[in-house]
Amino acid sequence: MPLDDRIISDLRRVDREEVPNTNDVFDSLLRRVRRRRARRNSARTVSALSLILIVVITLMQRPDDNRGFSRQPNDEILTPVEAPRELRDAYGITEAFRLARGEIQSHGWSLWAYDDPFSPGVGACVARLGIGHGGGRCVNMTGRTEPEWDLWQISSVKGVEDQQLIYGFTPLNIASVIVHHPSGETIEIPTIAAKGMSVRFFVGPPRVTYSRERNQPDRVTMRDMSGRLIDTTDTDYEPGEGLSLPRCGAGQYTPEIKQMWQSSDVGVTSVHITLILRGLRGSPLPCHLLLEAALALEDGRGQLLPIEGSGTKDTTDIIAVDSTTDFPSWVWRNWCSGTDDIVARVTLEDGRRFQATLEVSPSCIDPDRPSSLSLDQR
Amino acid sequence: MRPTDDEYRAMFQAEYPPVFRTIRLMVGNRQTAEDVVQEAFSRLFVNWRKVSRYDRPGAWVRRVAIRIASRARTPRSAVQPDPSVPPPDPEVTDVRLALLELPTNQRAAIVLRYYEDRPVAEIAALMGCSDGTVKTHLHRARAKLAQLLGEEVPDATR
Repeated sequence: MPLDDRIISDLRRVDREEVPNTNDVFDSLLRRVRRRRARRNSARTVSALSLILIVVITLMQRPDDNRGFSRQPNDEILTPVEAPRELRDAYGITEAFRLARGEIQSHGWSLWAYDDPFSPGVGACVARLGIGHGGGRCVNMTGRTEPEWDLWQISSVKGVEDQQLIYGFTPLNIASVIVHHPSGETIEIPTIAAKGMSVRFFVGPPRVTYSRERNQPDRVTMRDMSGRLIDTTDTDYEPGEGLSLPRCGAGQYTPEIKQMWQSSDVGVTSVHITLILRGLRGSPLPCHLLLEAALALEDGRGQLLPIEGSGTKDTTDIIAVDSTTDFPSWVWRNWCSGTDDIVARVTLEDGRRFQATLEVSPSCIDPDRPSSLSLDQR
Repeated sequence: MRPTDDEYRAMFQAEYPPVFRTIRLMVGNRQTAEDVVQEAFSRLFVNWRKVSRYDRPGAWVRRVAIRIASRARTPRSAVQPDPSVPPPDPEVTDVRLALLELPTNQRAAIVLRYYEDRPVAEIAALMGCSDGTVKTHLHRARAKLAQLLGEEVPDATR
């Protein structure tokens, strides 16, 4: 029998099989639909009641007393001041803010931003709350995910005894920050940052009022605070928009060669040679550095070794957030010539040269292939 | 005119058996077929006011059933049977067992073409794809079935 006929004849045998009683199925279907409707309606009712409950609780617990912070006007938190010279010179910014910590005593101090200006649209880091050493969380408030709740869980404040690191992306042009010390002293910390930049500094322990706070809705108070701060700082342009970082001062940095290597069962699989640039920033602002450098590997007599990529000029765009920054590594692989006395010599575009003797060389993996040196693009 | 439950019931009585048989062939298991078809008709019930105004509400429920069946876990004569998937019914024939070895799209195309005897354009409309895609599904499915059934690979599509 041809295939097509065999398929037809076999499939049509299903016609001889019994079909469920349609009346029974119909009744069962109606019951199923009604059950679903009932479930959906009860879920809607529960959602509506929950929403009403949340609104009522929120209204009842608005921070109109000494519960965490008082509802002071925004102008007590943010004071417009003349922009510091660094902001004027770099960006032409004329106005900045002095940011007071106000009465946000139990929460430390926080900065808010809508996006990571260095990776716009990628991180969507809208808020960072710096509490505790190295703590703080980046929260995506634009998404529907729940991690934003992590932000409001601030119990880590309790363990802070000496200093806390405060950092974040600021939505403001900032000139300074006022911090109230537990002793009652008020300290003004110069904190120069343009809108959208990362800032960080250390402050003493916050004045924590645990007694009532622990049973109160921190989330609500923090949300309220964030709402007010963002309302205040919502201006015409997004953080970081239209700003291009200033160039790092030419030649301000001090280069230094650093070596690292990776080992496996077959020996040293690759040697990484990195340039560390120290003293890059002449100002508190991050800066941008276009650096051209060439790494040549030579023997002890100054002869260039037969390595592909050795001596080639490489250019890298660096954003120096801190004063010390790494140039991307060069990776050296597959060394089969046996010479061990090897010198790495780096030449910068301004003609400065410096060198270091390499402590190891990579293992010979394949004698038929050339040794290679290339910039690690990761 | 406002559609009534009676209209829905009439529609159900007429369409349930053929849709059930089609899905039965697609999923290879009676219980799964009952679940799939009931789910499709439940959705028809919920959307009845809208769908009843269509020219062919039967095509709508058939399309929905095929889509649900495509996602349903179907028994395969696999070497390592999955205990969570019901086995094929005992009355299932060689062709129907071989059918379960095909991907769901190819399976649907074969059932609609050979069992329901529908033209390619109609199959494409039911499956929500182009005519060319249906022809590709049919071609590959027949080649695979021929191989599984020990038949010669046919030259052309039916």
